[in-house]
Amino acid sequence: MNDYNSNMTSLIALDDDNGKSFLGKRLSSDREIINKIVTMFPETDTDERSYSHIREEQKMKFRIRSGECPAFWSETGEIQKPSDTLIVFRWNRRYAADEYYNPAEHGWELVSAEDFPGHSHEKITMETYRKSNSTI
Amino acid sequence: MHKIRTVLMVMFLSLILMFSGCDFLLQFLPDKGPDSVTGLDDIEWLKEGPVISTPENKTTFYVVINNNEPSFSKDEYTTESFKKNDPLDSLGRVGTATSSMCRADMPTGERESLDTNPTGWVQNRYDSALVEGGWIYNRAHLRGYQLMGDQDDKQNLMTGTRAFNVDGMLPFENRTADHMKEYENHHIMYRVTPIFIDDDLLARGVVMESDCIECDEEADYAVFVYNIQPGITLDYRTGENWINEDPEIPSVWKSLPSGG
Repeated sequence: MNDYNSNMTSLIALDDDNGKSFLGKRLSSDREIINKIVTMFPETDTDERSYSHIREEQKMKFRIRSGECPAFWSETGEIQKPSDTLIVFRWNRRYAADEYYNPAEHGWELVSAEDFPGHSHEKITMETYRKSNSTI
Repeated sequence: MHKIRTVLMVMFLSLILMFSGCDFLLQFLPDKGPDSVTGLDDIEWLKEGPVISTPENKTTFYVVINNNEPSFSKDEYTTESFKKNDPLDSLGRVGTATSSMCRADMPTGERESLDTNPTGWVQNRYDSALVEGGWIYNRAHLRGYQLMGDQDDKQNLMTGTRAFNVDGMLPFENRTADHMKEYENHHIMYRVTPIFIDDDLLARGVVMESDCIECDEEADYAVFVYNIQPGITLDYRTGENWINEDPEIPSVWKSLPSGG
């Protein structure tokens, strides 16, 4: 069985240098990313800290690690295994980071990219990746 | 604010004085004396200079200090916006920049060109493959323009290498700035303290402290950012600079020790 036909989508945010976190904390935030996610998925799993940052009126669209949602959003770049789709919200900014994730080095192939305006970021790029034949 | 700068300076300088006060970096080598420059090779990040390898092979121009906790006292916290810069010292060197700021304080006008030449300003041009943009030095804002709109204020400008300004300070400053933009009702205590050794005209780097009063996320940090340029030797006494010809010797801190 192909572990990557899981229909699971991991959602993360990276800066221009593929930075994902600093001392375990997110690099930045933008409400327009959450707005985008809730239009894409009926429900999305997330971690506790990311959940705490979601506005109250949108929390009903998220669950904390239920394992029953088609997508998982992590502010600090936690990738769910197995995932066959990776969506990277690219900040188009450089932030101080100490943890990085380069999708290409983990067997992901870029299939599409879409720009949208952020609330606190001039432009956020939503990059969609699919698994190549490489393993994670 | 002067008291806080004094405390910070005492913290750093007391460690320096423990080793006969000649080199800031020797605080990381408790067993080495002031003459043991080659002893710096014993510690990887000193051997390389303040450049730390990461899985992405990125250059890191900072070190986290005080467990990433800013050291503002309780009395200093305020949601009332202000900005303050210590006066230049007797050598004309820039001092601490302190502020409390929020979204409403961010600039809306055009950024102006800078003419101030801070201490240690010995400008040279290099191949852009070595120094991005060619010019070794920037007029580096302590409190960045994007935060409160500071322009050509000699009390808020220091001589910083291109790498220090763009790769060192700016990535941290961006965290603070974008948090302010996202959370309009949050207030940030912010302080940048340049560190000079003895009578050096060029700062070794800056302590950057940022603390969001309402939360504990990306706008909270305490780091020391090194004023360095990989591949270039800096004489911190004067600001003079030249290409590091010997690849076997770490270029970044090669001009140690400071002073006469």
